[in-house]
This record gives sequence, C-alpha cells and structure tokens, in this order.
Amino acid sequence: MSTARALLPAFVVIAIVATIAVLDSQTPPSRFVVIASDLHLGGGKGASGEWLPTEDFRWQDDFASFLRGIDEAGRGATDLVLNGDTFELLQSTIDDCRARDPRLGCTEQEARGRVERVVAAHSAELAALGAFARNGTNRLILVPGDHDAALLFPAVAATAIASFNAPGRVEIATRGYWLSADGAIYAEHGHQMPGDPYAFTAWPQPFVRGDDGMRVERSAGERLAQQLYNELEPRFPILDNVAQEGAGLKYAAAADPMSLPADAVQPLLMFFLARPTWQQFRLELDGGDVESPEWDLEAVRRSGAAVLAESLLPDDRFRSVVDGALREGRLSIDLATLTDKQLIAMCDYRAALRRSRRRLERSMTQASTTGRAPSECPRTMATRGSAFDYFWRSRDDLVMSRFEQVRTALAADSRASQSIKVVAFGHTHLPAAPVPLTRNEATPVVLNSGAWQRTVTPFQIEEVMQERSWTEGDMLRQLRPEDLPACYGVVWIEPYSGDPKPRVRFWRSDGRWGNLPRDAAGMATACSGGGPAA
Amino acid sequence: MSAQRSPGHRITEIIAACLLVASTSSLRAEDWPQWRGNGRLGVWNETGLVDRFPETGLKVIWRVPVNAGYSGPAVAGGRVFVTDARRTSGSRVVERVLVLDERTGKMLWSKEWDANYSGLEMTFALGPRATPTIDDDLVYVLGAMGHLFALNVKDGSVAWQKNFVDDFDATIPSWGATAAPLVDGDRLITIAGGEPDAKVIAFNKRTGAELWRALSSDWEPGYAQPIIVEAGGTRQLMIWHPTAISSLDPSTGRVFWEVPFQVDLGITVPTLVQSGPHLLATTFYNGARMLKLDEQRPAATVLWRGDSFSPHSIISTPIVQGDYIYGMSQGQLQCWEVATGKQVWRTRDLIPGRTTPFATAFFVRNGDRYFINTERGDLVMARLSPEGYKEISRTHLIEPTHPYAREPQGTVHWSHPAYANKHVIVRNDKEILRASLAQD
Repeated sequence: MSTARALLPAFVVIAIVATIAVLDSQTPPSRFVVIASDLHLGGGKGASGEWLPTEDFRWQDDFASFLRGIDEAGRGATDLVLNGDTFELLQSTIDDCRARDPRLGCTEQEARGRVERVVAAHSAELAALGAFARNGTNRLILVPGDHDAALLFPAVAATAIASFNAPGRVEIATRGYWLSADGAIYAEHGHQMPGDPYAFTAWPQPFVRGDDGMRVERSAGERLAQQLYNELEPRFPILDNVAQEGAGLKYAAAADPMSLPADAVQPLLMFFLARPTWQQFRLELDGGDVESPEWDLEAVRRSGAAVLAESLLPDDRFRSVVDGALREGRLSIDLATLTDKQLIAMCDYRAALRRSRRRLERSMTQASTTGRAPSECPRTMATRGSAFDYFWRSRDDLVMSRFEQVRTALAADSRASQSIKVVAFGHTHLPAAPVPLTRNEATPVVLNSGAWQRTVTPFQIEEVMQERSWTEGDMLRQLRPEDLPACYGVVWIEPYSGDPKPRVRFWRSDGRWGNLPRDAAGMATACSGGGPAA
Repeated sequence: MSAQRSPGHRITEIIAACLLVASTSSLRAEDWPQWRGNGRLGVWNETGLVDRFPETGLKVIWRVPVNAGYSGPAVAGGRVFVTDARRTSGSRVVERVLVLDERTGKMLWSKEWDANYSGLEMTFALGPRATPTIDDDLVYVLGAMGHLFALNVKDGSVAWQKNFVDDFDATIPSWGATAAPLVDGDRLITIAGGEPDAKVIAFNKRTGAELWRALSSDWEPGYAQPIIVEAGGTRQLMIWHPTAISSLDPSTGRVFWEVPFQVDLGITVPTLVQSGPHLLATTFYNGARMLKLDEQRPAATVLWRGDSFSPHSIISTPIVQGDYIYGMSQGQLQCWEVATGKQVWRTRDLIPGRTTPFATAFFVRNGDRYFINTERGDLVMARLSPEGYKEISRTHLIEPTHPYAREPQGTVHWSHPAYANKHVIVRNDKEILRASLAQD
C-alpha cells in the first residue's frame, strides 16, 4: 500500500472536519430582534379632532421614524416583536361589551368591533408597520397582552393581521409568548406573573363562557383599573403615562382626595404593597450562599392592619388616604388571610424603601430620597443587624415561579426551554436593565422594555413639580402626554453568534438612541444622553 | 542674686538643645497606633530609611498566617494589632483580634467573637474593616457588625464592650461597620449608626459609659473615619456621613455646623483631609467638596464643588501638599489645584494596566516623598509635584487577595498598611508580614 493510500482516511477525516469547521464558521448569525411593548393603540381622536383623553398613542410620526430606524439597523432582516397591549381593547369610550357579569368582557364579535375602530383610528401607524413588515425579510410578531388578549379570538386576530396588509409577514403569538427560532429569546407580556392582578385564570385561553357565549375574562385588576382610569383620565390625561403602573393614581389622590372611590382604597393598597419588586435591578452582592435576614411574620401579623399603612413611605401620596380609611374603619384586611409570600413581598419592598431613603438610592424604588425612612418589618432576633439588602428575594422568587410555569408551557408545546438566554417582559411600563433570572444563575437574563410610550417616572415628575412650583393638581391638569420627552424604550438584540446580548435602549426623536444605565438617574439619563444607533 | 548668663553661653545652650532635638528626632521610633497613623494624617516622620527598594525586594522580618479582613494593622508599644474573620457556615463568622510581638511576629494573645454577616454585601464580607486604635493600656477594636471592645493591651482581657446592634439598635450598612474608634482625651468616639439620634456616640474610654450621642440615623452612617481638626479657634470633630459634613464639639457632641453633601449609595469612604483652612471630601459618584474653614469661629463654607474632572475617589484618601491635591480618581493618580479643584495632571503609571475606575492606592508621606501601596500589592516610593508623578522605586510587597466584585478584573489589595519603627506591616486575607525599610 502506498503512503498516499495509507494516508487517505486521514485526509478524508481532515477534510470532513475542515468542512464542518468552515460550515460552522459560516453559520449565519441570528436576526436582529427588537421587542417593544404597550403601544396601547386606542380610539384615536374624537369628533372634534382632539385626542380622546384615554388615547395613549399619539406618536404617529415618531413611530414611523422609529420603524425606519430599526429597519435600517437590521438591514431588512429584523424581527419586531410587539410584546403585548399593542391594541387597547379594554378601555373604550363606547360601552359595547355588555356582559351582565362584571367579570366578563367582550365577545369575539364585540372585540372585533373594537379592533376595527382602532384600525380606523391608527391607520397610519398600522400602514407603517405593514410597510416595515413587507420590507426585506422583516417579520412582525404580536404577542397578546392583558389589554389585547382578545387577539386570541380567531376573528379578532384575522382582523388585526389584515390591517397590516403584509401577508405572511405578521403573526399573532397564539401560544401567549414568542420564542426565537434558535430558542434563545423568550418574550411574553408579563401579566401572568404570579400574583399580578391582571393575570388571567387560564393563559393563553383568557376566555370564560357567559350566557351568550365565550367572553374575555375580566381580571380583578382590570375591573378596578378601568373604572378608575375611565373616570380620571378625562380630567388628568397624563395619569396613565406615569411609570410604573398605577403611580399616577397617587398623584390623583393628592390632587383630589375624593377622586378615589372608597371601595378602591383597599384593593389599591394591596396592589401597591404586593407590587412585584421584579422591576428592580439587582446589585452584585453574593453568590447565593447567604442566610438572608428573615422577617418575623407572626409579629407582622400581630401588628394588625396598621402595618399596611406603615409599609408605605411616610410621605407617600397614598398614605393619607390609607390612614383616613384606617381611622374610619374602612379597611377590613385580615392579615391572617395574607400568605407568607405576600407579607414577605410587602416587607421586602418596605426594606427597599428604607434603604433607598437611608442611602440616597432612588433607582431601587423610583421613590424620592428625601424625607424620613420607614422602619423595617420586625426581624427574627437571630438576623438583626445589617441593612436588609435582600428585597429582590421576592423578585427572584416571582420571576423564577413564572419561569417554571413557562418551562411547563414550553414542554406542553414540545419546545425546549434550556436554550433560553433572554426573557423579555413589558406590562409595567417601567424599563428594567438585564439581570440574571436568580442570584444563583448566570443565565437567562430578564429585562423589561418599558412601554413604547412617552412615559415619566415619579422622580422625574417630582423634579418638574419642584422646578415649576406645581402642586399635584397643577401637574396633572397642565402636563399632557405631548409634553413628555419623545423617548421610547425597547429591548434591542443585535444579531449574535454566541449568546444574545440584550440591551434596553430608548429611541428618541432627535435620532439618537439612549441606553438604560444601571444608576440612579435611570430613564431620565437614557432620554437625555446616549448615542447614535450604530 | 540671679545667675546672669552671657549671650554666648545662651546661644551655645540653644544650639545644643537643637542638636539634641534633631538627634532624638532622627533616632526616634514611631508607632502607628491607629488608622493612618498618628493624628490620622497619613504621615510617617521616621528617617534613616531606604532611598530605593532592594532589587530583590524588601527583607521580610516575619510572616504570620491570618484570616480574611480589610482592617489595617496598628502598632504600639512593641505590639502589632490586627483583626480578621473566618467563615464558619453561610454568613456566620468568627471575628478575631490578634496581637503579635512586633519584633518576632510571635502571637501574644487573641480574642474571638461570633458575628453574622447576613445582609452585608457578601462579595466584600470577608472580615473586619476598622483599624484597631491603641491608647495607653487599652486597645479598641470594632468588628464589621458593630461589636466594640476595649481590651487590655497586655493580655486581651475585656475592660468593657458594646454591641451597636443590641445596645443601640443600629443598622449596619451594606459594607459593614468601618469607622475606627477615635480617642480624644477621656473619650472614645465611635460611628455607631444607632437609634435614636445616635449616629455618633462618645464613651468614657476607660469605663464605656456613654457620654454623649449625636446626629440622626435617618440616614446611614456612611464609611468615613472621624477626625479632629483645629480650626476657628477650637477643636472640631469632623463626621462625614451620606447627607452632610458635620462639625461637632468633641466634648459635648453639639453640632457646630453642617455642610450638606448628599452622597449616592452612602459611599462616604475616603477620610476627610485638612490642610490649613481647607477641608476636602471626595466621593466616587458625587465628586468633591472643598470647604473653607472659618479662622475665627467654628464654621465653614464651600470653596468649590468640583466638576467631572475634580477628585472622584471611591476608597483612597487623597493628600494635600502645599497648593495641590494628589490622589486616586476614576482609577488614575491625579493632581488638582487646592484653590479651584482644577485638574493639573493625571496618569495611569502608578497602577499600570489597571483600567477600572475603582483602582485604589494608599498614600503615606515621609519627608518629601511618598510611600504608596497600590491595590496590586506593590509598594511604590515616589515624589509628587505639580509637574507630575516621579516614581523612585517599586517593589512587590504582598499578594492581592481581596475579591473584586466577582468581575474578571483579578483580585485587589484594599488594606491600609502600617508604617512603624522603620518597617512596613501589611496584611491580606492570608498573612500579615513585617518588612524592613531601614537603611543598612
């Protein structure tokens, strides 16, 4: 046998290995992914030509420029994921969903009617989205949220998809989530987070059978929110633009103590106290091997309902409302009925407020750092001493619980969850930079796009009020959504060959992009600094 | 009849006295009994030291294993005092003060106590931070969780003790209790962070009886070391905490004056620096404040606030020499004008290759030169002037073992050394060593 023949198998092996290596190196990178959330395209303008007070999306020109920007950045190969609440199908000036049971929302036909009105009101935006979707190999994915869960009705979905006029390029994520082709990026709206008052009993089947057929379920949160916002937004159009969700109601309470109905105080209090802390970014603290300080939950329960009021900041605008309700015996919360997890979440958040005040660190809670710090919930004796830095424990617990549900859902859909590197949410309207899923895990990272809206954080509002010597009433009456910076948050993931590197970025009307910094200035900095899209 | 001496005789006497003083000065041993040495000034006056470090490194007299900690050693009366901690389980530790013979390194005594670092930023929760303070026959030791001991120097027996958490309802901040107790006359002044209004507590240094307390704990106590300055015709206790620089009467705790200075995350770490009528505070996030101390009464005004190029130090205490400030800022050694805060120069030559903005070094003045310990574990001898940084000599002294935020930046050395009796004494998380700086 000649030397050449003897070496042939080796050459073949080398050639195969080399070919595989070349192919591997030529594996096309992933697509450019942009995830935006909470557009809330609503009823548009009224007969007078003025925006309806309930209309949140007034940014047609900005939106068109944004779409051109991401189209250019992705070179015509962009997946744009609208991660829930794209259509505002809950809040309507027309009372056209007439279920007798307040727990029931629209039927399929009624919801289709609402979509048609939104399509008519926002034809320009939908046309721009359609043009984007038709270009190159772009794709548009609509993930249903709590405000447009009706997209899961086939007829509603068909009406919505047709409005884009981009056949084959637009899809509704009927599984209730979007997963990238490589399984690395997972997006869902966020309302199914455990304990969220807007969660549906079943997802992605948010329907309940009524006397006249299937209707969209109305969550307790939605029933409360719609009542309040329908009443207050005509007076205070900025109300819904305050991030995070619900924060605007506190200003309304301060401007007009009678603006909140008596029966709304208790559910709102529980909403604010049990507010998931998962928006908070986590600091670099430990490897997860630490004994966290523990709350003495029995002592908390023994202290009665007053502990709930004390868990708000002393200068919280909602505090006087709650104190008043306590004095008048209108709060009937039995702490014995609250679960340990609910109490821990409340105490963790209270500790976050305390720390935020005591070390002048407003980014933790979006709370002003001026004023007195609240006390902590009582601790067990063995864990007294250090500052409580473990308030994100609730956030970890919450997100991990949701992620376990996601894993189960993916398994039911015969889809793997191990390759997920990024989990993107919206829903809260408050952007959050990427942080690991839990303290013990490096990946996946969790982040929040915020809303594709002009939004303002409480501490930005405080600055404006201080600068202009405005009362809460002045602010709510005089500040309009159009006065806010043209600055819109998205999750931005450039094509990758290894792990995706998600960022929260802000598109601004000056053509520049702001990055969400992990510091005290947060969104305000992102909307004033930053750099070009490249 | 009084004895009249001739002018010549008197001059001879003066010259002789001067010679005697000079002679004693050059031979005088100098201890390092507290944070940054005598007066907390970061000044070491000994002479007869090396002009350059030996090519082969400093001669190490002894090395003794220790556990982890950031606290610098203190030296007094032939003894070296240092604190450390060892993890027992989870966040539970045993803290310890150990006392070594300065000459041999032999352990003379030690004292241990239990602590739980639960709630501290665990990446940095290695051990105690505060340098022991020695005063006569007592040494004052503070653990990271607020355990305060007054111990007899001779045998470690407890003269008195306090627990800031149990006794004063203190909340220990995320990076632990850091302020080395300060002796002032009969008082021991501590930053306790207690409630109510017990951020600062003065004790009778011999009995532990509380003498006074001051400042609200609505905000964290911060991490800065208290100092005493002479200004405005009186002695002032300077407390720098996350909302203000406060001047107190050290004998009563009464507040003389406060200059608001809000510091994000409560990170008031570098020690305040006084130079004549100037008092400098610098932070990483919020820059600097240069105060002008009133010459007639206890009062102060802000001379300048500093721009983004002014001192932004996270740990390192800057130094003021003449009309210039030198110190670490944004990870570089920099020089600024005292009068304006204007940057004069900056260099990465002190800690080459280190790009992190947190890069840290400790400065000790010795005559017209400085001993500088870098976070890389190097000891540098250098001259600093408005013209620039002039390195005289450099040697590697100790391995950096402190973790650096779990980022791939390597480990660091963030423990201030002691300079005493012609030696440098330095510790990391594994050992403490004494190396000679004596001229042969």
